[in-house]
Amino acid sequence: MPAIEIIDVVKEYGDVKALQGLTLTVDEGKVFGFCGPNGAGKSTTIKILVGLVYPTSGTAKVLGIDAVENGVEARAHIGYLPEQYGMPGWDTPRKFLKYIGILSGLSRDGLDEKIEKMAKEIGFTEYLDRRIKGLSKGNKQKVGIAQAFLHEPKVILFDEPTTGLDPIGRNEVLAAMKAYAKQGNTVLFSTHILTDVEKICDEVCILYKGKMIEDGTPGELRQKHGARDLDEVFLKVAQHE
Amino acid sequence: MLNATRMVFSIRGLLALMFTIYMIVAIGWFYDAIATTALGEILNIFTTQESQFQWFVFDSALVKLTTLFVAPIFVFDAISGDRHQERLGLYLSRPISRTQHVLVRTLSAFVAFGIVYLPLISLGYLQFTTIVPGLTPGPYFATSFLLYLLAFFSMSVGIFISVVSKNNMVSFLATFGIMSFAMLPNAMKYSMPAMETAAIATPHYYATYFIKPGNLDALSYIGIMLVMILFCLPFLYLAIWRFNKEDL
Repeated sequence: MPAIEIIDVVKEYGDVKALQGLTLTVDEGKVFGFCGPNGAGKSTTIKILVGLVYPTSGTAKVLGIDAVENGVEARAHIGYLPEQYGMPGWDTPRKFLKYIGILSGLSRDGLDEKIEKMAKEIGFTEYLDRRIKGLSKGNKQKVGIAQAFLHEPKVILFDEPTTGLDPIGRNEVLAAMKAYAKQGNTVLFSTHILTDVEKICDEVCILYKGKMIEDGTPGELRQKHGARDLDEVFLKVAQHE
Repeated sequence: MLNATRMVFSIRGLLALMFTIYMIVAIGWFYDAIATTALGEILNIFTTQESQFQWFVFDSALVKLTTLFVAPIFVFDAISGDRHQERLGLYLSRPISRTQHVLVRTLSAFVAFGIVYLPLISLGYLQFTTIVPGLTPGPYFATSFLLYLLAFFSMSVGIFISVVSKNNMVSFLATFGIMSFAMLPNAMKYSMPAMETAAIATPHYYATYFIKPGNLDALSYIGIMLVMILFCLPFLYLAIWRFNKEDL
């Protein structure tokens, strides 16, 4: 069973077609890179999977569960990090993660230990009891990633997780995603930084104006287009479009 | 309960507490002040000092201030605030429905308000008996609880406005505006009997039904509680319906 199935999804905002019949499948245990320029439809696709946006037509499934018809059930298996998000500034990461854990259906028993373990793995233990508003962007992003992983979902959906981070922060985030996928989970992340995709992705798809214009492994795409890297692949296919 | 506790132990909880304490302390002083002025003539529509006082406390001061200012504090930014601060994505990516989210926000605001309001209104009774000795507890507490349900009406309106509004200030002011408009017929019925018909169409009429001692009867009380809850349902339904249709 695929982890993610998107079947002929169309999304229209008035006259604007954000997605034009997108179809794609992501197998379990893969790291999937979802690429494209700004406005390609990456965030819209992820939001449809999470149930924040309703498709105009088509079907989106997570682990075989319809994300629109059975959104609550589907979201039990999803960890999501939006591109832009806020956290309560006066809370500490510990308090915030505790609240998120309870919202995710985790029991209060053992939740503190779980949060401490997560903080140690991701690397923000020393900030666990500091107010969120005082944390750097990189450390806030680590807390954001922790809230996605906390309830150990089978599918992770990250929207531009490395944007705005320094090289160390970016590598830490990419390493965390790769390590999570190695445990048999599925990670789909959107990005316009194609070097990140080349570092960790098993498969890639390139979105352009709401349509998928290319998909395959990074090696396949480079070979197909005779390119040195995915940036070059993207420029070639985008120009063709 | 987690949401309710967070609200109580927050700036809004503190504001609500201070406001309610201030109201209870100030009410006695205001009552004494106006009873001896030309404004006090309006109190003569009641035949006993107790009725006068109950009306003054519940129908003029406490109702207006509580439902206009204190209750909306807990709910005006329940959805619009999360939207403005971009938290909705994180919260609604959990295995909860949007309906649950709206109901939990409303009910936790209601519980949080109750944690502040109900003990204080009970303590207020002790203070008010120094102004009106022998103040009958039955109608006082019965009306106090109905005011608590009236606050729920205010919160239902507030949550609906919070869902449709993208701005916290607009949300608060719109709730204030609607509640101000809704309480007018009941406030005016004493000086304009023709307004009583219009007042019956507002929850404020029912919230102040028992302010006169001797009015209290259990069946009527239960009936009135149900009527007041019915007033809240359309706004809750509209809030849930609208929120479920929205692309976030």
